[in-house]
Amino acid sequence: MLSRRELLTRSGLGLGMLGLVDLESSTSAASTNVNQGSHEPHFKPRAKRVIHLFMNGGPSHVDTFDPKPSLQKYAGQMLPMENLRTERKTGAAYPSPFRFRKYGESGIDVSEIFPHVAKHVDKLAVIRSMHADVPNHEPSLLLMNCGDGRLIRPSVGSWLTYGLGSENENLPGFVAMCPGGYPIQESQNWQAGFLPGIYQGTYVDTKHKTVDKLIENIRNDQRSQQQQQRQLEFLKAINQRHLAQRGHDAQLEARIKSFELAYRMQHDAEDAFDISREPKSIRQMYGPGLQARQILIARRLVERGVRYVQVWHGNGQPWDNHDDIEVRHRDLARQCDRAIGALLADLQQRGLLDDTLVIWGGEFGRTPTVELPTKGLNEGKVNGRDHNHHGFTMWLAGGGIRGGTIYGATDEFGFRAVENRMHIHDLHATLLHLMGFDHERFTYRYAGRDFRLTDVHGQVVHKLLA
Amino acid sequence: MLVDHCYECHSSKATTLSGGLRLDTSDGWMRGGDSGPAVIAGRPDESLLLRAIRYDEDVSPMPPSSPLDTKLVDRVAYWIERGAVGPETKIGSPPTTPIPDQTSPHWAFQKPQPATDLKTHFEGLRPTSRIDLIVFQAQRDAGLTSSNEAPPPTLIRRLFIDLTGLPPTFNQLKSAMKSSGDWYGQLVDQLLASPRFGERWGRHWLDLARFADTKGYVFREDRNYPDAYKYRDWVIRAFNSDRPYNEFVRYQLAADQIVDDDANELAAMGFLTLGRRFLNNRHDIIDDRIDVTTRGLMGLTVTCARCHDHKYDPIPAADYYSLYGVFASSKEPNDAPSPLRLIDVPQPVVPVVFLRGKPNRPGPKVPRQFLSLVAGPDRQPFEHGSGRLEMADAIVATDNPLTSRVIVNRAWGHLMGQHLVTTPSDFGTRSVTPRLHRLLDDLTIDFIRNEMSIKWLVRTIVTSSIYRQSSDLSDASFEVDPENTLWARAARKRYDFETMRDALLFVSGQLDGNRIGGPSVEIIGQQPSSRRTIYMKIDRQNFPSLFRTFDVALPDTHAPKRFATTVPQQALFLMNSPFIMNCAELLTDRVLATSEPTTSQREQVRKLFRLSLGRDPDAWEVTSSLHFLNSDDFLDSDERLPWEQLSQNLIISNEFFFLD
Repeated sequence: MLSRRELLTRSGLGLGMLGLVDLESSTSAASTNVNQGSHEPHFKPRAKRVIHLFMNGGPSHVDTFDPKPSLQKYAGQMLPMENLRTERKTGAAYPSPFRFRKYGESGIDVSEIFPHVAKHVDKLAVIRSMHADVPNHEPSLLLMNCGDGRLIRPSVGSWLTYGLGSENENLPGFVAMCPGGYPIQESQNWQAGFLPGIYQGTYVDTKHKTVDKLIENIRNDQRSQQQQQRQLEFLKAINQRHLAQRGHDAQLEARIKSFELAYRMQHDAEDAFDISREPKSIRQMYGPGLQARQILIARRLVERGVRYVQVWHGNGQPWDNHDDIEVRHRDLARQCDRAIGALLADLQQRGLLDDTLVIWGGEFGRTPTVELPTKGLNEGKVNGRDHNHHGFTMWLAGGGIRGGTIYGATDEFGFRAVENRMHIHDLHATLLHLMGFDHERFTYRYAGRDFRLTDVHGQVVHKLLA
Repeated sequence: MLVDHCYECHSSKATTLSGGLRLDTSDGWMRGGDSGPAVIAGRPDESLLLRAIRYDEDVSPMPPSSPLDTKLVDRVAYWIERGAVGPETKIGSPPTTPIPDQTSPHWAFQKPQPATDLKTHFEGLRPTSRIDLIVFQAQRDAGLTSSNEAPPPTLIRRLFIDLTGLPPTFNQLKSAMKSSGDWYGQLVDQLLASPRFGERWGRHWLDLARFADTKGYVFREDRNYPDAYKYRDWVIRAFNSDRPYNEFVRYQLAADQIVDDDANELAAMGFLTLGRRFLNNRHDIIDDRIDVTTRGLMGLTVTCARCHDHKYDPIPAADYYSLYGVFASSKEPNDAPSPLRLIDVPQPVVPVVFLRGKPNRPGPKVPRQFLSLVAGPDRQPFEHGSGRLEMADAIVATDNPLTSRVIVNRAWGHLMGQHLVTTPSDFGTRSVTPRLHRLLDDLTIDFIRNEMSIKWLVRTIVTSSIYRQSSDLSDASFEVDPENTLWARAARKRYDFETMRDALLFVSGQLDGNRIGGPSVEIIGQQPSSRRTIYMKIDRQNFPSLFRTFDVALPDTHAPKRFATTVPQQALFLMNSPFIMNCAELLTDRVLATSEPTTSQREQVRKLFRLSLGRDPDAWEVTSSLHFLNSDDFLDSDERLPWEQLSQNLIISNEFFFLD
């Protein structure tokens, strides 16, 4: 009989593969899968894990990280350019109700609604020239998350866990947190598409606080830990005997191992999601509230080796302020600003910021012009902004990013990205680059084609890299 | 390669274009620069590009800084030899761009050939069919020999699961073995005649048909397909009544043109109409229908040709739009009685090629007609209405080299655990030619001769000696053929999600398994149904994590085959979920509730093994089970707890989940 190691090496399946996912092991000897893409990075990664802070709904760039004093000049008047076409009709210039100030050595301007993030501005690369394809949430969310606005494609987190696996086999490799339910376009935002289902993001409703509500089947409410342990020991004996009667079989062995992993996962997940285990000083640093809780969980997850963590601001589209933008943007920023600042400081003090990439942004930005009232929507209100995919801001920090950078610019009023325009495909290409992958070579064969996250697009933006 | 090493000076991105040569478009390299064409397709040695990077003496060496790695040079040579196809080959007029000549024709695009010169005697082996003769020969040529026949209980369990998706009971096992004469053949016939056959094989088909009960994301519109189940019922009925495969396919594509007003039959068209709705984007809906039709039925990746000619297979973009015209000329009427059907529009659409796949860039007109790859040089445009029925007829025509091969390969994969063509929905030039393609061809010819009967096909495969082999792995067979491409042993198969859930409900006495058909039911949540899993409601928008965890086919698009992952989330479900706890409790009830006060624990253990695994326990199993049940650790606990834990262990064990 062959040893397990021999079986695996001879069939070309590395031992490492047995850990989390055995693809396609439907035959008795482990078989290789033609669909396995590169599980080796193409070059040395600068970032090992990602926290994506998703301000869903679309935060206004001219109110946050892209000041436009010229708007003041035209306040209440039409801009000296034609308003670009967005989802709804917009009117006169609408200067930001918020004050901007320069921060840090880099002197980058940040709005008064993000004072804590502003303290870390020297860690950020602020991209002011992002652009997307259309001014609607659904396609823009899909484009941002999956690289295509309409078709079924794997999300960024799925690509990365597929490519790199997880550093902690006792936790899911890709976690999507969103309190109170799904964002628009729902679980498609973290879909695995044509990759195996296991690469889909594990959705966690962070409205809940206890681990059994956060993760499905993580606890057995009828058996004590000791009872379960005894039971699983007996199960293992049964399975080992079954295996011994059949010689070696990688899929039987993998399944035996999966119970051991699951048993440990129960403990580790409980630990990872329980922020009460943090010292008081840390909890105070992140501040009170739901955003603080989920952002702190995000840090605990990446610290434990989770590859990709997405933190959605809330269900639906909280940042979608077609009206009352002054009040609402101020409130939304207040909910997360302190915790985001704390996250950056905390990652740094733990030495994690060097290889953790933090992404901040929405699916698009908002118009510099005021949205005109629409019956039944923002009726009677002339104090909000429409969606704007022509130009908007995102920022990156940590793993391999050159801090204190401003990249690109919108026009004088913040309507359209004009300088160093950076499409979402370029963001994806850059992100993959940071994680060690050449976006043109990182492919998956499906339906007769080698698919890429960036399809046939995307340029790595080297100026953002440290 | 070109991007990395040449674009700096020879592309639209170059600050000054060197030598007037652009290498970022196929036009660029074909037209060439100041020194003439850079690439002559098919002729590497005459191509300046290759000669330059080879540093040939009489040309300017490129890249000038340092020569490329020889491997890269070889790849370029190969690429030119193969026709130098670029990633963005332009679609121009005339609509049918020439297809690069293929030096040797791709086997799957040719007519299947019967196997000839079959030896009929193999020492020590008992061939029972042409399958065996072909496979034995191939094994012998490779220095392999088939494994012994698996023992009867293994075979019976294998047949029950493969044909009906439900395990045999202890009594069924006993009585099957007791039958006299050809007990095996009798059992096969009995299982093929069971209505459970259609439920098992119908589910395989639903994967292919990307079946779901919802439309996906549609904003505020109602996202349910309330009548989706009618299609599922039609599929189950079709498998049970063994409708010939050609008829089965024709109805799913064009029932509206075959029957007048029979709602039961018109439901067949759910195959086309139950796809994702892509926010009602018409082009994407049509693309999905072309995909399920071409990949699903013919193993051709036609939708690759939506934006440009197919890069590898002879499918020009023009052919994509010929089929596009068929679907664009079909609509869904709004009348209630047959909600799943399509009908032709009064004025069929004359399609145009969308350049680069963009509807706002109309190109040349093309007729509605079939794929040139199959129809050949004498292709005629479709004449009747949308042409959908003509398309269906061309798909199932006996001289279509793909359709029958594709379904035979699928059936083989379901039964044998591994397909002959390992990319079952891509038989194109990039698929791996199976070592046993002679077998696939021969079986396909017989399948057509036997009126494309699926039950004939299943029966033929499962009665072969190859199917009946043991799954034990010998050193020799592993050494020579680790991936088992010559089937010198049976594949050990793990239960898929449906079989797992059905079997768990079955052994715990909960399965509501005798009714057939009907509306979809929730199987997750507060009051889960105990019907067979094929009847589960499937929301394709928020596909439940349980389904994902257990590799259920994603209904977003056509699913060629299922993944087989092993992950701790599966174990967590089996350790902790309310569903499994309930199964363990009810199985315990079945053991304890029927026991007399005098029944010994030993007898109870035996009963539990019979109910869960369909066999008696051996001595070790009895002893260790008794030891587990009577452990001191349970002194303080409820007396049922050890029984429930033992029950749970048996129904989550590897033995329960794998078919030897």
